[in-house]
This record gives sequence, structure tokens and C-alpha cells, in this order.
Amino acid sequence: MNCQKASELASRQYDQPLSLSKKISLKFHLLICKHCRNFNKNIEQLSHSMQSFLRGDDNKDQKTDTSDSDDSDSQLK
Amino acid sequence: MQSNALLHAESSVTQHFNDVGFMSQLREQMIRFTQTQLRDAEIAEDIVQEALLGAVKNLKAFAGRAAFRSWVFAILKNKMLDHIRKQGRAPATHSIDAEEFNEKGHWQQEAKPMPWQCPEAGLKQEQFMVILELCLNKLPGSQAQVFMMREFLGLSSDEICTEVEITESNLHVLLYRARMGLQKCMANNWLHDDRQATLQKSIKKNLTHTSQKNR
Repeated sequence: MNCQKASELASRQYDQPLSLSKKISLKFHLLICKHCRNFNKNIEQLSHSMQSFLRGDDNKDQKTDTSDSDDSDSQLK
Repeated sequence: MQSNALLHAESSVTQHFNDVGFMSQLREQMIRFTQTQLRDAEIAEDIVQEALLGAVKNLKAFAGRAAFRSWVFAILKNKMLDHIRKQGRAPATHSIDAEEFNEKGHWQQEAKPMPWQCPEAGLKQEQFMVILELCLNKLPGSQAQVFMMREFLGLSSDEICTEVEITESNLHVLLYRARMGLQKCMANNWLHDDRQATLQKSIKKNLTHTSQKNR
């Protein structure tokens, strides 16, 4: 899987469930590619921030920056 | 007990409604937000007006459970949904143009996604939303529209495809392009302090300008 495909899947996982094989290849790619990890984290935060804005949370459960110590495990539930 | 809480909530809402500066700023923000989605200034103003009237009528439902701004935006969200369901516009579709990637599908040097700054250290949530709104306005209309339907209005993929009459693969392309554009724009405006300062200045100028206009 290359970065283009991985970023497409990263986006799609927020809109529909991915098949198991796609999940696994995406997860594997994210483990080895920092740029796609950044992409995935950024779009996750986009969604997260809009939701917490609507709920009226005031920063308190904003995602904190984990820079390079990623936990890709939590991204593909 | 409950009526005390209600009285307190009502008086805090009344306080907000009586604050002319706050209300005109909020109204401007709501209109810009709605315009991003609907691309029609007049309709956007009407819908915001309806949402604010709805807020006045439903003071009792407020009950202090959400911040005032979020509460009003939640009402706005429902009004926008009503409008979209009535209209059902079809946006133009885009194919994947992969300018971010080279022929092997690797990130181009300048397109490599940068990690965002931690919001606590950088921008507060409210400021995040202001910058997000500016970035949304830079996207092609159809991308901004489906992104808002998905992430702000919380519609499912199926619902969006039905509402705007596009195929599911078209929708995924549009959402992908929208997220790609937004994450790039947000990273640019978050990572560099000097750009952030310029942006904040222009936002401030904008707000002062509109509040003067409304006087």
C-alpha cells in the first residue's frame, strides 16, 4: 500500500466501516509511515473538535498532541 | 430546586441576548458558518434569523446544560438540516487529482502532513473554529458542503448521497479532498506563530468592522 491509498482509506474509515483486510493494511502502513500518521491524526482531530464544539465542551477533552509517540492502536477500532 | 436552576439559566440567556456586541458577533459568525454550507447569503441570513428566533422561543430548553454559543449553534444546525432536506442540491463532483503525491503514490515534499500543535498550547477551541471556518471557505463549494453535512450536521454517508444525489464513491472523493485541504490549511495556520498572528489580526479587524457596521 502506498501513501495515496493509505490516506484515502484513513479518510474513508470515518465515513464507513473498512473491511478487515483494508483495516490491517492501513494499520500496518500507519505503523511505518510518519506522514500518513500525521494525516490521520489531523483529520481525526478535525472531526473531534467539531463534535466537542457542538457538545459545548470547553477544551477539556481536546486531544493532546502526542507528536511522535503514536498509539496507532486506538485509531483503527 | 429545578425551577431555581431554570430561572438561573433564563437570566443567563437574557444576559447574553441583552449584550448587543456579543449577539452581533455571534450572528455574524453564524451567518458565515451557514454560508459555507449553503452558499447563499440571503438564505443564510434567513436561517440564522430563524435559529435565533427559535432560541428565544425555547429559552426553557436551554436549562444551562450547554454553553450559550453551542446551544444556539445546535438550533442552527437543525434549521440548516431542514433547509437541506427541502432543497437537496447536487454539488459538482470531482475526480481524485493527486497533486499531493508523486507517481509512486508517495507524499510530495511540500505536501507532507505536519503534526498540529496541541490546542491548549496554541489555539483555544473557539479560535480553532474560527480558523476552520476560514479554511472551509477556501475549499471548493461541493467539498465544504459535504464535509459540513458529514462532520457538523452528522449525516451518514447514505443520507448525504441521497440528499445531494451523488454516488458513494463520489462522496468519498469529495470528503477525502475536503479533509486533505483542511488539514493542510489548518497545519499552515497553526504551525507558524507569525502567520497565526497575522490571521488573528485580520479576524479582529473583521469583527470590529462588522460590529461597527451593525451600530
